[in-house]
Amino acid sequence: MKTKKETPQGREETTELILDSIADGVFTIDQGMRITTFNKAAEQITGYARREVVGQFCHDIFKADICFKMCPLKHTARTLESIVNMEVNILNRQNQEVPISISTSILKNHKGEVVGAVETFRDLSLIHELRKEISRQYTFQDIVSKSKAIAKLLNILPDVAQSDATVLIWGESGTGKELFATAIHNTSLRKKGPFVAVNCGALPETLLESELFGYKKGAFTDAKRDKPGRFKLAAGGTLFLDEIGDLSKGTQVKLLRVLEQREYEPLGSTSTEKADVRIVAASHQDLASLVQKGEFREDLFYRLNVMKLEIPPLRDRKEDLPLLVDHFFRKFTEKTGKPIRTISKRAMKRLLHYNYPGNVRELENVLEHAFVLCKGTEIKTSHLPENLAASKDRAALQEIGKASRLPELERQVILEALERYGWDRSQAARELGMHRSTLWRKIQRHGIRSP
Amino acid sequence: MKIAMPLHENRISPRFGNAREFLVVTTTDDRDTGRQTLTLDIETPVQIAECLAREGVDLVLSGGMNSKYQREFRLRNIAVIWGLIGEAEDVLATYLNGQVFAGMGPCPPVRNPRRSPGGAKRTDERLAAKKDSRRKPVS
Repeated sequence: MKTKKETPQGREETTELILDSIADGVFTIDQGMRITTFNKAAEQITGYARREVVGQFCHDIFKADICFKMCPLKHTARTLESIVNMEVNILNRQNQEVPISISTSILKNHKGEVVGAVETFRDLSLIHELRKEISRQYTFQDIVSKSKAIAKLLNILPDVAQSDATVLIWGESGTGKELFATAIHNTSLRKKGPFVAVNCGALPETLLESELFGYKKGAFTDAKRDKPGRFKLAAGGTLFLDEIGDLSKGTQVKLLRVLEQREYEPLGSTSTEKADVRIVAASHQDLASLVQKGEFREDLFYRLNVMKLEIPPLRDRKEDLPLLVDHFFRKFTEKTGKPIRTISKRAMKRLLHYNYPGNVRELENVLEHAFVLCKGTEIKTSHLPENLAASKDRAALQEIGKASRLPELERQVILEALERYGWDRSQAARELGMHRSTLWRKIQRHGIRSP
Repeated sequence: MKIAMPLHENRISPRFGNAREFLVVTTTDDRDTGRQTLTLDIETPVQIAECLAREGVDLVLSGGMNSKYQREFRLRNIAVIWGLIGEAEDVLATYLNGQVFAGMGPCPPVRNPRRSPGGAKRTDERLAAKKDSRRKPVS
């Protein structure tokens, strides 16, 4: 691109402009290893200004770990070979280590004589950080996760376990509440004692009471001998009360007494017994809202809520899916003896797009289903349960796609807005971005009636 | 006072962690009164800091220095001035003249720079302006 007007100065300026517009750091050196050009990106990565570094030795500025051991520029000057994407660490002006990826090439003048070398470099700090982040795994006992939320839990778990405080685990069904409870027990001071689990939702009220507290011989018809309760069986260990939200009010009072006085009476007994147990309770329901509805005693709630662990649902930590799939693969290959090794990309994609109302347990069932149907070595979409394909988000998308469904969608949106604002039409209209009378017309058309 | 400088040949080593040779200078009243060269064949920051502390070093004049080394020196009450560039003798002379302070970038002044662009003051002019305002080393 030569024009008559071009002068050496003009050309130099153009070169500088071009170099400065490149996102990678670029610098050149002469044959005495002194820096001759230094672009803007290089200034940003190293922290040095161009006027400071031009004329300096490159190793004085870059301070790379390889400088005097294996200088890439010297290597290029000697062998005329370029180096591409070599990872090195430099110290920037603030004395911080910066990982960079460098490429070098020889610099010749128009006569073909070597006049120096050029090096381009790219800041890898962000990439390194991301890579570290991705490969990080959090483990505690049998719990493996990549999720930040779980990591937070695992951080406090040892301290929680070491204390003797009552723990309340809250999480949707299938998130692994019992897994956390056993992990707490296994790392607590009571780990040599028994771990006894009771599902409070599984037994009717009266039966549950005799299960928990036990009974004395003759307490009721057919009580032919003493029966120790779960509190007694768990003595010196941990009692895990699952689905605590299903407890009847009567049992709640009795449990409260155990928590407060650390003692209880078996049915039909006249003497009290000491309760030497650590209680870990779990619920899939939000106990606070149960308290508000009057279905759960407030005092018991506060007694239980000493340490609260909230386990996030699987749909909020999809980053764990590959890890979990891997885990269940190992489990099922061992169990079934089938030579299944991999999962197809499309099948994995489908797994990732599903939102798992049943959480990890559902994922486990999905994979077990696939293992039963799969006859080859790879799990394909055809082996997955059908309800995965028709998952909710997809169905919603399809609905929007169909013009005939639009009125129905509109009706739904309006109804939701009205419900949100307690049937205040002005506010709902404002949120929907339409005039009040337009909203009123639409309400008439869709036949929406306030309850 | 004893001053240590990491060497690469005759220059201050650009990266403290790469240096195995150290020039240790004893000064009295800011005058050079004796020197020795230490060659340390040890690796970890702790070992190097310990070794220099045993020698009675009070100050390290250094090029780039990873924070690991800085921490070890701080623990042993050894002051560090980092970010220095140039011939060890020049850096020492500049320091004894009271003109070196932490993180100041290229020092001593660039010799025969290819060009001095941008109207920026040459480093030696900048230093001359500061001649009377001697700064104590910052650890």
